[in-house]
Amino acid sequence: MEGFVFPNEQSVVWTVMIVLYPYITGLVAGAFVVSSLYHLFGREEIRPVARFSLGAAFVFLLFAPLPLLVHLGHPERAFNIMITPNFSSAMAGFGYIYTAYLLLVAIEIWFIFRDEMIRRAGGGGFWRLVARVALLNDLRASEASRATDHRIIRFLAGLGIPMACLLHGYVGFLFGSIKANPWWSTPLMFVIFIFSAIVSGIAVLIFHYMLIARLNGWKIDQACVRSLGRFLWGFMIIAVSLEVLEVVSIAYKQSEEWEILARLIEDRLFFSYIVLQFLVFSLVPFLLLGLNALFRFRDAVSNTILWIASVMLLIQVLLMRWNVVIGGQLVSKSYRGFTSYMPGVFEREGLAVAVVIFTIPFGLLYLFHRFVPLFPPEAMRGAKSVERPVVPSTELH
Amino acid sequence: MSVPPDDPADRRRFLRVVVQSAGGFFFVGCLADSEDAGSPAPPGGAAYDWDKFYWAYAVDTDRCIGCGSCMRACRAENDVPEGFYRTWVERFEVDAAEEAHVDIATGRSASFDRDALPPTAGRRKSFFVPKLCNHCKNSVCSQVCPVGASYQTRDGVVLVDAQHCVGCAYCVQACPYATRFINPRSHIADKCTFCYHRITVGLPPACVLVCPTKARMYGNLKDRQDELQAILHRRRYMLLKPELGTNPKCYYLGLDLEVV
Amino acid sequence: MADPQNRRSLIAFAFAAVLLATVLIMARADALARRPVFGLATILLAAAGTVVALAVGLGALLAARRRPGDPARVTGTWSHVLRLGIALLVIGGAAIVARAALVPDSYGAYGYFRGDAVRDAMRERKPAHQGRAACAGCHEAEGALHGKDFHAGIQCESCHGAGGEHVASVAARAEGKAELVPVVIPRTQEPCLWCHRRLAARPSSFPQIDPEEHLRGFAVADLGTPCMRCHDPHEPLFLTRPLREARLHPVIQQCRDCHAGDVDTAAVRPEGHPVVFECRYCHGDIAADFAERTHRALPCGRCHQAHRESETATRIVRSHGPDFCLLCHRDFPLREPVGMPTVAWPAHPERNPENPPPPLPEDAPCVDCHMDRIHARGLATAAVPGGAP
Repeated sequence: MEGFVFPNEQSVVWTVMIVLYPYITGLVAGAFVVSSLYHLFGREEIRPVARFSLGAAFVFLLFAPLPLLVHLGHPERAFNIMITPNFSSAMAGFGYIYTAYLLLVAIEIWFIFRDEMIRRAGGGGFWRLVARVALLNDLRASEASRATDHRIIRFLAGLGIPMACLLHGYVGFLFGSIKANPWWSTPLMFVIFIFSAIVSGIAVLIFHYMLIARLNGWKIDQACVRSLGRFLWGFMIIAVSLEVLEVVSIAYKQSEEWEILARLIEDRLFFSYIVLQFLVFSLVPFLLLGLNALFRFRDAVSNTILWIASVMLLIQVLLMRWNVVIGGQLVSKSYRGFTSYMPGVFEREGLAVAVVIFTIPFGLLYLFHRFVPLFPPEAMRGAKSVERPVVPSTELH
Repeated sequence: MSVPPDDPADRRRFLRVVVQSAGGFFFVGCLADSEDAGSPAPPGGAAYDWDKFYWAYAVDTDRCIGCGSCMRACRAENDVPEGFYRTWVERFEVDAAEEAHVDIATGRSASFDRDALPPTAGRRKSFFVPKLCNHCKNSVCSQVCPVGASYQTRDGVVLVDAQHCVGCAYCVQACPYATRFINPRSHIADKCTFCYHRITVGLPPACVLVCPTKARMYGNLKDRQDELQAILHRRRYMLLKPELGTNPKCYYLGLDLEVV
Repeated sequence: MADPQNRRSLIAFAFAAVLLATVLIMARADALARRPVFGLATILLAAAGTVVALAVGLGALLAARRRPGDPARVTGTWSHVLRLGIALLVIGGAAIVARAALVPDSYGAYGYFRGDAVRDAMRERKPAHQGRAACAGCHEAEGALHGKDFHAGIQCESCHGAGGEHVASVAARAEGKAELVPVVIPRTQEPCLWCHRRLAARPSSFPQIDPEEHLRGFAVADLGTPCMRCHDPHEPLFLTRPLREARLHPVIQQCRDCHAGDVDTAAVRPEGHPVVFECRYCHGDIAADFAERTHRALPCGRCHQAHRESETATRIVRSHGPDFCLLCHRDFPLREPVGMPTVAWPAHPERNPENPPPPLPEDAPCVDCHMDRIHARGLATAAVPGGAP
């Protein structure tokens, strides 16, 4: 606490859970965009991670509302947002946008994995039951039906991109439209959130794909990761430029709120915002990815660079979420002081819960993979692993 | 689905469910006229016709002596949890360098025990400013409530529906005056209710009642004989953060530039 | 589309679509829904559509279950899409009906919120603060006293706490149902200092003191001495007892300086007890002069509430304009009138209409002209108390 803060501002009301929520939806939106690169824009080299990215988008999407539920004062009333949505509120859109997007991703996945699920349904055990229920007990597939599915998938992938932007842009809008908060109130917030979402989505796929390949001893598809690396570089340049542009434009205008925001940046957020978010976790990945895109390193070197850059960008986006969500609440609405916030470890909205919420989707992704393989067979070549699915997969749309 | 029930009230409810199902996503418009009665009876019954009132508040900062009676009364009247405030009194002390130092009296006694600045600071001026919910005409908090739990009554009071609020705290973020908080006991958004349980039975809000110097005033803007209107017509007043377009109904007489 | 199973799926899809279409049309025609016939027809149509859609869908599922994985039947192009469509329609329909059923009854009655919430807010709690009139209803003497002094505008409940429970318990006790809930009786300085502690931010016209300075000025050893010891909070401007008896004069020892524990200060002084000083012991000349003047019936302490502390005495009598004198001499005196002359200040009776004095400023101190009614100024004060009996 420093200076004068209004008496009800002693504590920060949106905690680390609300940092996690846009982070997770960002991963969803980004991963979906990657899958659409293949399914809609025909980037063939993305094929090894196309299905994986959609699976990742789906499991993260399932868990996106969990931090919100943990945060709500009355989680049992959560459905009020769909029962009586007040459409003058940006937040009221959440229930319907989220549900529509979840349905869309689920349906796209349903079509993409139909062949795999039919194969599963022909097998035995627990997964057979799951597959039959998931398939609505229709086990028929033919060349004609596959062609139909392919058209539907393309349509859904196309529809999904604006939906992903809507879902994530809405989160940015949620913050950007709060006129009471000078650190949030900018129309750029909406755009920044979308681009940083794409960055985090691509980064988590590179990170996770390389990790799985390494653990299983698969050969990493160089064309795929190099292409992803270039996309990552491009999107991170846009995202970071916008983030810098936002703060520079406030600073240049020198309006009333800059006095307190300058103190916020120079003092309260200096380490997490200037040092970490920009100097370390933006500049270093920018250089690494730039080098990797411009020079032809050996595969092992290139992969290491990419992996490190991806991890750093994952952290960068998390830092950006933190600096926006928490940073904005540190400024008192009196413009005269700052409150402070540090999450506890074992409290309800603490770090332990955050880590658990963030980890579950990865476990679920593994289960998903046990059900139907998330990677095409050629991506799993050279496997020594136990993770190899029982049923070999063949065709991929 | 079953046959419509016999009881008229039940049938009305059943019909409403059907119609609202039918409304689907477009239900916003059909909520109000789905009841068979034309216009619903006012909530106060015969004793209180809310169409005759439009409540407003005024604070004369010159008169405030910073005694904290309002804060103590509000806490007692509304059972406000310790550490949170539906109303509070800020003290401004401007030093020789024209720097304003602001603080509030906290705790159960809500009493200022000493001057904020030492005598050596060369105090230029100092004064008190009471704060409370501004009951804005264009209230951001009720705009951003995702479930319609924050709303404005027809008589101009911004309230929270304790049974419907989900506790998302979006309104807490959106209120430019920081008058809202999440109640640690009920876990819903909490704020000044303009003592709605008092003004609707003809009593003044607790803070107005106990103010020893009449620094706090309230009145009905629909009544031309109302004393508050006379004051607002006679005196010059200012609003808090008027540039945000919230149109507060809490009028400040003698407000200093330092106050936000 | 010749596949019988496809046909069945199609029918189910059509029914579900009809259901949804009805629902959507109704959205536009909800005004018509107030007519019971239309409402009933909708209900029946919706119910029929749902039942048929469910039955056909279920039939299709069962049919497929009977012949699972028959390679000969793997010909469908759209069948799985239809099935998915039915599933989505059923889920969507269920969600819409569930939503409608869950909307609170009064939602939208007055606007986009739960109408009953307004009534809830009105009845959220009983008013805790009763207001002074309610207190004076029983506590007549205090009410009458209180209504006359500078504290007339102060609510009883500002010092005594919200009286809601107290008032309710009076009625309950009358019926023998409950004990009386007492109000707060302040016994410390704190409640007085909420308003009267000297603070720079307080308007300078408002009476305020530094409690330590105030008590030290009277040589009171216990700095925690409650204000009520001398001031009656119900009529604070007049001391509760003569200054002499209050034992606050600097040269008088506090009883507690010698006696342990509480002492009844009003008790009769025993034989041989050290002297209790009177004003005239030191201020003999002034006292003698005063005894000749019109105000002689008053104790010194009536105006000189303080002695060594200049603040209170001079501020009220001299610096504070006519207010202090007007406490008694206004034609609506705060104290009961006892035949003293009164004025309707700032109107001032003219003694000599032919030769009127220059108009008086509103804040002119009365003593500037009328000091002759009180006592002469500048008379000597004995350095050593004398004239003790």
